[in-house]
Order: sequence, then C-alpha cells, then structure tokens
Amino acid sequence: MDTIIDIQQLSYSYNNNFKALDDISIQVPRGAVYGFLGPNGAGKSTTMRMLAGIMPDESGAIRVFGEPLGGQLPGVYAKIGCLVEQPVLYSHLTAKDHLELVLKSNGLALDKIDPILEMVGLTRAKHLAVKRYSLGMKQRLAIGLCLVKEPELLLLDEPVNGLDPNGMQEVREMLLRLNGQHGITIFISSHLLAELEKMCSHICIINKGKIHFQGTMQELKLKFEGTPVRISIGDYDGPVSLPGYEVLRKDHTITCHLQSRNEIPVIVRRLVEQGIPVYEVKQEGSLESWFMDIIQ
Amino acid sequence: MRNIIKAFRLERIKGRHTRTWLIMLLTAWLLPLLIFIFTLTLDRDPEIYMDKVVTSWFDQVFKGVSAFGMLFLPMAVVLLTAQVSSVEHKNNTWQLIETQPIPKWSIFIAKYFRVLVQVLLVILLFFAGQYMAYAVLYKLLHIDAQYYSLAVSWADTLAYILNLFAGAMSFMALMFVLHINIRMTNLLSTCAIVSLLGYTMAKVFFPDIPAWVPLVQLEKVSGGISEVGAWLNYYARLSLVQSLFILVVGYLFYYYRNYRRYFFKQYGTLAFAAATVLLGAVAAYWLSQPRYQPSHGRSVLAGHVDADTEVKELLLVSGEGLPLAAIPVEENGDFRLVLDSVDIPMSHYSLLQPLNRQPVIAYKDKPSAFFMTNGDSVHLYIKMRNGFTDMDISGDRRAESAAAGIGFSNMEQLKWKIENDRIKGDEAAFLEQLEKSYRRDVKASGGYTTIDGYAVAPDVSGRNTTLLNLKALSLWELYGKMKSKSELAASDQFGFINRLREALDFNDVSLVAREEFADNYFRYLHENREVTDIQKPALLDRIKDDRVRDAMRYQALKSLLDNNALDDSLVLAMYDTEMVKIRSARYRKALATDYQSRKARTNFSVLPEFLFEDENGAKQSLRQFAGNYIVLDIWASWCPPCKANAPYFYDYADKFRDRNVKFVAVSVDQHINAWKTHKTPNPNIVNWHTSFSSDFIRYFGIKGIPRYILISPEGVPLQHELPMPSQSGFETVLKQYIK
Repeated sequence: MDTIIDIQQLSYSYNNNFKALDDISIQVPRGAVYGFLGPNGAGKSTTMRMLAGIMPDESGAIRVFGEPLGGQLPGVYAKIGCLVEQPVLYSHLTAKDHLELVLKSNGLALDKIDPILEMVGLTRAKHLAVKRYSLGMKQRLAIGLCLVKEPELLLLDEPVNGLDPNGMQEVREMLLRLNGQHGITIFISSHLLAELEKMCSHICIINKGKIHFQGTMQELKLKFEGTPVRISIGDYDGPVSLPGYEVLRKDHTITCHLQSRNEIPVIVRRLVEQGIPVYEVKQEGSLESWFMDIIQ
Repeated sequence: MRNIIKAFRLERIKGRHTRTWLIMLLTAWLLPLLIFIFTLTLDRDPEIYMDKVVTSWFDQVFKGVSAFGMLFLPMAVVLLTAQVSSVEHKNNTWQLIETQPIPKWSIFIAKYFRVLVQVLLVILLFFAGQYMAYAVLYKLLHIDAQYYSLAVSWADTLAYILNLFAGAMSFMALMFVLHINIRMTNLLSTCAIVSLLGYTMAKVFFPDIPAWVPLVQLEKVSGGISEVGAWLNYYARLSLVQSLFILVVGYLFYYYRNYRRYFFKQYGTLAFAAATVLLGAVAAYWLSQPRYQPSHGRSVLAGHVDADTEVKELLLVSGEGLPLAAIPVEENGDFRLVLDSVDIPMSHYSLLQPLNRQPVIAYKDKPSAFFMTNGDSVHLYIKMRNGFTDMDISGDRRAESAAAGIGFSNMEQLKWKIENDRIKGDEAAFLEQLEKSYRRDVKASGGYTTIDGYAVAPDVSGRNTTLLNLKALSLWELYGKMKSKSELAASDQFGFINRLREALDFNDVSLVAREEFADNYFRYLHENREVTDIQKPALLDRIKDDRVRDAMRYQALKSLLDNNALDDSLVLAMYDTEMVKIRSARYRKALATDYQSRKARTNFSVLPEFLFEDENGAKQSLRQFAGNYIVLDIWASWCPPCKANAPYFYDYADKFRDRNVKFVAVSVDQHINAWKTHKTPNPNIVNWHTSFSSDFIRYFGIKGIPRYILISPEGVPLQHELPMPSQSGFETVLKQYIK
C-alpha cells in the first residue's frame, strides 16, 4: 500500500514564542479515510493549510503522491480537492456558476454539473445566488466543488461543521461511498472524536502541535480495549504502584486499564493494602475519556 | 498562455450578476449625455457663434475628452479594479481559486487583462457616445449644423483612443495593485475617488506636480494627442512603462501576501525584485532628464498653401513685424525657401500675404505664429477658405513656442501690491515675496514641457530668466524708493538682488526683439525710473553691443512713432536724427511705413477719399459730410473698451445733434453679421463698416481700438487720437473746435 501524504518532521511557528506545529510526521496510505483529530488550536488547520498549499512549506517536509508538494503546485490541485475551514464561495454566483468555474479551471466537461448537484442535494437551488443559501447548503456546495473534479485525495477541514444531524449523516455516507467505490483517499479533520470514530480507517490525534497517536482504528481500539477505571485517591501524595497495569496519574486521580470488570475489587484491595485511600472508583467510557485526558 | 486564457474565462464567470456593464455605461455615457442635454438647453446667442468658426464638428467631439479623461475614466478605473478584486476579497475566495490547478500569475494577469478590456471598452463607448450625441444634434436636429463640417478624422480618433488607453495604464496598474493587495475595497475606492476630485484642487496649490503621478499623465493625455506625429505622446509612453513597473512590484506583493517570510528566503525572487527597483530608478532618472527638440541642421521654411484665391507670394516677418524674406509660392501651392543666409534669432515668426499685408493666421488652439531659429526646418500647411485660415505647423520648437507666455504671472501679481509708490499690505514681507515669486516664475518658464516631453531650450529659458531678472529689479527699485539707504542694504541680507544684477546679460538680440524686454531694459538704463519715449534715444549710447543697440533704437523709434500724444513735428524731427544711426537696413525698412503715415498727417492735407459700407452694403464716403465736423469712432463688437465707451459717444452725438457735426461709428468687425447685431439704433449715429486692413485704417496707422478721430469741415484731420469719450477731455477738445 503506497503512501499518498507523507509528512516528515514538519514544524511551523507563527512567531518565535509559539510553535503551532512541533515536529509532526504523518503517513496517509492510499485509499484510507484518515481522521485528523484534535481540539481547537491544536494545529489541525495549520497542517491543513500547509497540506493544501495555502501556506508554504518552506522545509519541503510535505510530500504528496511521492513528490514534494511545493514543486507540484498548482497542477496537483487537479488531483486534490480541498475544503479548508469554512466554505469560501462567491456570494453573487449560483451553484451552477461555481461548478462551472471549478470544472473550467480543471479543464473538465460541463456535463457533470447536474449529477453533482443531485449528489449534494442542491438541484432545486442551482439557480439561486449563494448569498441566499443556508450554512448547510453552502457547506454541501463546497464539498460538491471538491468532488466535482474527481480528485484522488480529499482534504476536508471540519466538513460537517454547521450541518444538522441528518446532513452530517448524509455527508458521512457520501464520503464513505466515494472512498469505497472510487478509492478516493480522504484526509479529514475534526474536533469530534465521535464523528471520526464512525468513518475513519486511520486516525491521528494531535494536541498543541504534537502528535499523540497515529495508527489504524483497530490499533486504537486495541489499545483501549477493556475497562478503563478512574480512581480518586484523596490527598495521597505517595507512590502508586500497580504492576501489570498501565497507570496514568493526574493529581489525585489515577486511571488504569483492566481486562474486565472482575479485576476492580482486586485493584482496590491492592491499593488499600498499600495504604492508599480510595474515595471513588468510576468505570470510564472508552476512547472519549482518554482523548479528553490528552487535551486537558 | 493557455493558463491565462483559462483564468480569463474564469474571470468572466465571476463577472456574472455583478452589473459591471452598468458601471461601464454610466462612466462612458454620462458625459456625452450631459453635453447633449446642455447643448439642447443652451441659449443660442448668435454673438457667441458669429466670430467662432469651427471647421469641423470633430473638434466638438473632442471637447469632452478632457473631462472624461480626468474624471470619468479614472472613476471607471477605480470602480472596475475594485470590482475585479472585491469579488475575491469579500469571502476570501482567493482560497477557492488558488486551490485550483491554475498558477497564481495567470490569475493576476487575467484579472488585469479583464480590467484592460473593460477600460478600453469604456473609452470606445465614450467616443461612440460622443459621436452619437453630436450626430443627433447636427444631423438630425440640425443644431448649429451650419458652423461645422461633418467630416470625421478617424486617424485622430484612433490616436486619442490609444493615448487615453496608454495614459490610463499607470493609474489602472496602481489601482489594480492596490485593490488586489488591500482588502478594504470600499475604503480604498472612496479614498481614490476623493483624491481624484481633490487633484483638480491640489493643482491650484501645487502647480508643479511631477509627471510620474498617474493623474498628471491622465490629464495630459486627455489634453491632446502627440504634436510631432508620434503614436503615443510622452505621458502615454511614461504611463505605459510605469505601469509595468507597478505591476511587477504589485505582483510580488500579491504572490507573497500570505507568507512574507518566505519571500526573503527566495534569493532568485529577491534578486528579481531588487533588479526591478533598480531598473525603475534608472528609468526615473532617464525620464527626469529634459529633452530638447533637435535642430534640423538647415534653416528651411516649406509648406503648402491651399487657398480659394490665388496666392503668389508670402512674406516672412519677425514677431515685431520686420520683413525678413519673400517666399514665392508655386502654382500648385507649394513653397520652399532656404533661409541659411538670413539671421533668425529664436523667436516667433509669421507669414503675411503681401497683397493686403494680411497675416496668415491660424485658428483653434494652434499658435498663430511659429517658433523658429537658425538651423530649424518648419513645415506649414495653410488652408484658406472664405476668408478663414487654418494652419498646421510641424517641426517647429513647440516647447519654446508654448512656453513663450508662461511664467510671468507671479511677478505680475506682485506688481498689484504697489499702488502710488506705496506697498499695500505687509511691507516687511515684500522682499521675501519677491524672491518667492521670482523663483516660481523662473521655474515655470524653464520647467515647461510639451505633451511630447520636450523641454524649453536652455537659451530660451535663459532669456526668460533675464526678463524676470529685469522685472524683479524694477520691482525692487520701486520698493527701494520707500526705504532709506541703510534700511535697504539691511533688507537684502542674502544678496538676492545683487545676484540678479550680476546675472543680467544684455548681449542677446533675440531678447531685444521682445517689446517687453525693451521696455524693461530702457527702464534699467534709466536707473529704474519711468522712461518717456522722448528720453529713450538718449539712453541708447550706454549700450555697448552694436546689434543690440540697433534693435533697441528700432524699438525706441517704433514706440515714438506710435505715440500719438506727442507733437508730430517733435516726433518727426527726433526720428530724422535717430534714424540715420540705425545700421541695419531691415530695421530702417520696417519703420518706413509707420514714418510715412505719421508724416502724412502733418501735412494737414485734405483726406483722400475712403469708401465705407453701410448696413445695406452700399458704398459711402466721408465727402458727403463736407461742411460738417466729423467725429469717428473706430470700434468692433468683440472689443470690451469700445463697448464701454460707446454709450458716452452716443450721448455726445445726442448733445451735439444741432451743431454742424456728424458722429460716425466705423466698425472693423471681421463678421458683418456681428456688426449688424451690435450697431446702435441711435438716429444721430451713422453706422458704417470697413475692414481692419483697409486703406483708411492704414492711413491713420491704427493698431488698436477704440480710436476717436476728429475731422474738420474741409476734410482735414484735426485730432488723430481724441481722449476716450468716457473721460472729460473728450468734450473739452471737441468744444475747442465746435463752437
């Protein structure tokens, strides 16, 4: 399986004090739906902008389709569809005009306008100026504009922002269909884990410019299989040792992963034996809480 | 190239639903429409049109170009450039268009190209509008149609379109670059339009705005096309070069907008930018150097006369009327004369038709005389039809001829500050003002350039400076009269006046050719006191240069002969003694006519018979009034002082109606109709008309009007120049004779 996006040790800072990206490396294999997860301000959009060539990659760390990105601009845009941040559209033009614009700039035939409008559900609004569109309609048109040139790679920055649950569902299905039928690689960013969990084959978690996890969904799930529990230990300051378990200690809370519920009394007994007061034992959800832990 | 075409097509898609055509139509057609409505509602006073002969309606079509070029065209440029980039700025759709497989430079070029096409369309629409407006006015409504020939000069139209387009280029590039790089479209457009309107006002306070300001270029190209036959005049070419420079710099800004830091790491680009700036500086230096119209090597006057009457000979005369050479005209109308043997100091010259000594004059905005000097070749195309003359001049020194009258206004204004040997207002600031006005005038008289970028030759501007020096010195002396010696010495602490004195150079004959210089020089020779015509000859001995002295003596005698206030015998006696001192036969010959007419009147002989024309076109003679005194009023409808004195003249006619005196008003109007509309219905006035080149006018040596002449009952002139009727002297003199 070849790699479509290959980022090697990319760093970027807007000024001297603040590093937006700190030495990140990302590999996206062909045909993947790659989720790029992180809270606001984690560096998602910076990465996206640099990937989309809107911001220059001075170091040449980004390689797309096996070549450095900088050398392929702007021809590579025929193979990449980007939707960066909010949808950018000409408010005085109609959906049809927009599609014509994109098709013409890619040198494609105009007969694809109607199928795409059908696909993003804007057939009825195709002669309406974009300034009369709702946010959801704009978002769908923007996605339509990315798809119409049949790209090999889709870069989507928060594509379901502003959509209603139904719309989110539709977009998600559409993307999965595209990925399944045409083998389009999708690089999608979001701050919602739940959103990505449902559609991604790969996932990468970023916070404060650093990558915390990268791998397939299975790997992630495998890592957090079992029962994570959170134990409050009052104001105990001494060492906590639980051999055989991975322990994450934060102030007066420790988190650890058990194979099953049956191990909870065992753990509690071992803590008590060490003289550690146990105030509360709480069984945690799954990935979500771990993610929350990371970004806090 | 394919990329640019692709990007241009995209721009056209983006232009949908934006009503750009409305901006274009409005800016192009508002002016023709206004002119059209204005012409319709104009009060058609025949007086305005009577003396105005416009040979072609084409000139009318170009009337609006100046307003269009200075206001409507730049307005269109601002709005169109704003539109083409605000489309992207509005929702930052740069991101959408820049993530398509089109290079950034092709987007930039396509956008600029779109503006170019639109602006060209606006210019074409404007001319189409002008033609349509005038076609409706003249061809359909027949308004003023009799004054115009409806021929169209397409070559001039093309030249205007090209020059306007090229001249607007730098403003276009500037606005385009600003709009594409600055997101605040509305603020920027407002500022641009305000500065557009403010420019006309700014010109009042800062008269010499440098040529690289795009609005100056626009103003100049809308003022006229090249006079030396170039496709593009200087300002159009300047604007074209400048626009390229602006575009390159603007493109770099645009390209590196999102990542300034990156720019400084691209050494190739850095070098390119530096080279551009360097090239711009070199170009600016090159353009700032004055250029002079080259000498052709031989003094040749050639051309063609296209007349409805036969012209066999033309007479070349200098600015002050000295005949220099006779030019034979061939049967086909061509003439050509090599003037290498004649000394032609740089000055104005004109041609006379020897038959009635009527000057060949030019109409419209063209100079009526041509500028020439030794080694120059001038070609004249003279068209004479129905008594009107049109002259096309090529090859003469346009900068010098246009600058001849420029650059004396500030000093003249300062003169008004002195009244009855007293300075009005702040006395202390007078010298400072004098120096300031002097500098401004020197700058204006020397810094003039033509539309083709030619500057005034150093010798001519040097002459202007000498004249200004003289003027400054005479003003200084006026000022000095009011000061004590110590005060005076203290006030010129920076030695300004002394420097002027040292810089004076009088050894230039072509300088003396100017009457104004001669007057100032006489005053200078007379220690800056007023000089009467009697005193002038005595001052001439102080001049060392023979040629200059000759020319000055000629000027002195000319003003002496013209001075009707002096006693005839005194004038003639003085003339006889001075005349022999003139060495040049040319000057002596030139004075002969004036001398003869002055001498003729001292004979107190009966006037020869002169024929005049009455309102019915019948011939009339003064002889019919024998036995009556005759008071003549020589006037014209276009002469304001004539009109101001007319009511007094009529009042005297009423007052003396019972005596043996006739009041005759003789008009010298060129157009009979103008005379007929303006003559008085007063029954005590006899209304006659004669030509300004008639024998009668020459007999009395009339060079200016109004002129009032008294003739005795025997037909002998008693007074050649009566005081103005509005002055009390008029009645006093009349009463001496008419009891």
